[in-house]
Amino acid sequence: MERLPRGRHGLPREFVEQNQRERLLAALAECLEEKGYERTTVASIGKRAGVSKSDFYKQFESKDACFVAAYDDAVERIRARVQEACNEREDWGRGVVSALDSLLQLFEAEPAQAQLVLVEGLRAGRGVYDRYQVALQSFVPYLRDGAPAPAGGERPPEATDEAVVGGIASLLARRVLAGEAKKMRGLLPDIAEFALTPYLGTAEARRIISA
Amino acid sequence: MGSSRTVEAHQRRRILSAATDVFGRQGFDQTPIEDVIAPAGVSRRTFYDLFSGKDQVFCAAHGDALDLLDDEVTRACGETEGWPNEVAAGVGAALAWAAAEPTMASLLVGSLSKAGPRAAYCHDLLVARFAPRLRRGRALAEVTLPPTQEEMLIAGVAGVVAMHVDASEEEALAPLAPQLVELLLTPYLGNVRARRVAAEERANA
Repeated sequence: MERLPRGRHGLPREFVEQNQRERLLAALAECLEEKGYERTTVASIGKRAGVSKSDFYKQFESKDACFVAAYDDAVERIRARVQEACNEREDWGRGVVSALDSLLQLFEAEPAQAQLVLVEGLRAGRGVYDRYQVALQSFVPYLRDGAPAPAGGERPPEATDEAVVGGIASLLARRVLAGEAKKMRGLLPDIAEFALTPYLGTAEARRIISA
Repeated sequence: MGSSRTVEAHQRRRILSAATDVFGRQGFDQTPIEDVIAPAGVSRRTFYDLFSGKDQVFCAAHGDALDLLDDEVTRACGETEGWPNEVAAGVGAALAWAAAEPTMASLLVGSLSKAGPRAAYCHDLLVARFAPRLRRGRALAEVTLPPTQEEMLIAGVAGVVAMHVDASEEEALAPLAPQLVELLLTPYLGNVRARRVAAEERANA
């Protein structure tokens, strides 16, 4: 996020405020990745964003409020990616693989965002954990809608959808914690197989993934 | 000497029991250490003689809960034969335990205790404890499964259980057994065989 020129620049106030807000959200994610939630302060976020403390408080009433805004913002961006991949799906299986791939690409390109949604959501305390859970659940319908039944069988039970989403999120969180966010795309075959197998069987899952 | 060790063991047990209860109900973050010390009926000094602080007592309580769950699962597995039946028995026993001991289940998988600096640590212990049991199923699989298979399966199951534990829906746990058994067995046995074992589980329930 580019800083705006100092002093008089004739830019509308709304534009300046929106720009500051986006810079603060990005700075918060970077601070978290670098030093974790506890040691991140309003001062360190402002410094990294190039926004004064008083301008910080015009946007957010506290570090917590900034965190929640950054969290929701990151989840929305992920959702938009997943939605886009699902909209382009020719069929359910390919749509799931492409949604997972775009998710991993996003995390790889922006490890600070991966850390924010996958790891800090668990660590930051109860209020944010509840948000993490709600966000996680909101991805279940993308998997559930249009999910087929394996050949000669019935559609897997509902808990499967929730367990698949939760299992993948947990694996990715562990990899972020291990400092492997930048190698996430290598996990695509594993997690795609994990996601597709209950619905399609291993052989069909692998056929789609390797296509 | 012998009696002071008995006293110490007794104090330790009281502290761990209070810790399980308090952390399980109000979570790691929201629990000042006084909330563990007071119901345990020990002095601050005694507490700090036995534990270095909140972190250590939490880990000890968590470890005890994990051991108890493991005992239940081991017992249930010992009463049946064959890996698929053991998985079914283990899942049934784990869910029955969680329904009977909601505070301990909450300590193991619930959001209150997971939130906080120890989240990753607790999760790793759970995976490390149960992944080897699941991994034995690879001997029955016709395909080579991804190395991350067991980690995702256990985390997925723990997440589903956590949702119900967090919502205090203990009665919803037992009926989940066939669904979770099918999920756990599918990668190893294929959809058809996994469903057959799950259906037997459903019939037994």
